[in-house]
Amino acid sequence: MSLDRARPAHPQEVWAAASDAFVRWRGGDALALDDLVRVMTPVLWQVVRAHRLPAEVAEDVVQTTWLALVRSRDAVHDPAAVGSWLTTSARREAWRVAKAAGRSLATEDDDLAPRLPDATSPEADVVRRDEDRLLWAAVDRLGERCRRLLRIVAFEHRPDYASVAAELAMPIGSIGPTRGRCLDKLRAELAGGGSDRG
Amino acid sequence: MADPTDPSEEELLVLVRTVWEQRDPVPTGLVARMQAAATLAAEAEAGGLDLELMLLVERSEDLAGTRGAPGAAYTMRFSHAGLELLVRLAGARLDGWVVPPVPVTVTVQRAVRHGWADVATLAVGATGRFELPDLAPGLLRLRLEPGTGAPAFQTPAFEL
Repeated sequence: MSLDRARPAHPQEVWAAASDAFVRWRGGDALALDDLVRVMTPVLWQVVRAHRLPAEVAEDVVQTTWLALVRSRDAVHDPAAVGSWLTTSARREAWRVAKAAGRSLATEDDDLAPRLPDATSPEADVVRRDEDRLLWAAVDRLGERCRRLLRIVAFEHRPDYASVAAELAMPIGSIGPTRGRCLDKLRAELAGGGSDRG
Repeated sequence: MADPTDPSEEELLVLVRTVWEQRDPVPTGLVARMQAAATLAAEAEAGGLDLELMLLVERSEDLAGTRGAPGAAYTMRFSHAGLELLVRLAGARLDGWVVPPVPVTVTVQRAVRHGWADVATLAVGATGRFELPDLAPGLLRLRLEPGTGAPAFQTPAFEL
C-alpha cells in the first residue's frame, strides 16, 4: 500500500475553503459562489453516490442541494458549518430519492468498473495499479454498511451522526463504535493484503 | 507513514478517499454545470428574475474553413425547452444562430471582478442570426430574452 502519492484534500481543509468562499459570496462577491461550488461539489458527489444512486440521479441530487443553498443562504448562520449543511442536505435528499425509488435505482456494478491505467503504462504505473487493486479489494471486502459509512466519514468533516444513523438504519449510538470496527476491519484486510479471499 | 503495517485511522481514511476518487471520480463537466446552475439561481433570487438555464449539449473544434491554427475556432450548441442556440467562436468573432429562428434580444455579459457586466445588447430578427465581430477575450455568457415576455434563457459561461 502506498500513502506517499498526492493525497486528496483533507475534509477539514475543504470545509475551511468552503467557509471562506461562502463568507465572500454572502459579502457580495458573486464569483465566490463558483469557488464554493468547485470546492464542495466533489464531496457532495461522493456522499450522494454512497447511497448507490445512478450517475444522472446523483447529479440531480447535487444540483438540488446547490439550489437549496442559494435559496436558504441566510439560514446558514455559521459560515464554518456550510460544508456540513451541504453534505447533510445532499445525503438527506439522496436518501429520500433512493427510498422513493426502491431497488430500481441501485447502481449497477458496471458503473464502478475499474478505471485503472492500461497495460502499456510504465513499470511504476503497473506497480501502482497492483497496489490500487489491493486497496480496492480491501474496501470491497468490508461489506455494504462499512463501505458506505467509511465513504461518508472519509469525505466529511465531522459528519452529523444523527442523519447518518437514520440513513444507514442504525441507532445513533452505534455509529461511533461501528466506525471504529469498520476501520479495524479495513486495517486487517490491508495487513492480510494480497491473499485473494473471495 | 511511520509504520506501514499499522496505519492510523487518519491514514486509513486517506486511503478510503483515494480509492473512491479513483473508482468513482466526479463526472467531467459536473463542477461547471453546478456552477452554472447555482449562479443562475443566485441571480434569479437576487433580481427576482425569471431565468431558464440553457445547457451546453455539444462543443466541437471547428476545423473546416479555418485558416488559422487548429482550435482557433469552435462551435457550441446550447439547448433548453425546445430552443437551441448555436455559437461559433473564431478569434474575436462570435456568430450566433437561434433555432428555431425567433425574435429575441441577446445580451452579451462579461465576468468582471464581482459579477457580470453587460457588454452588448442586440435585437435579433426573424432570421435568428446575430454576430459580434470584435469582442475582447474573457469569460462570457449570453442571455436571450424572447419577445413574447416568456422567461429569459441564459447560457453557462464560456471562454473567448
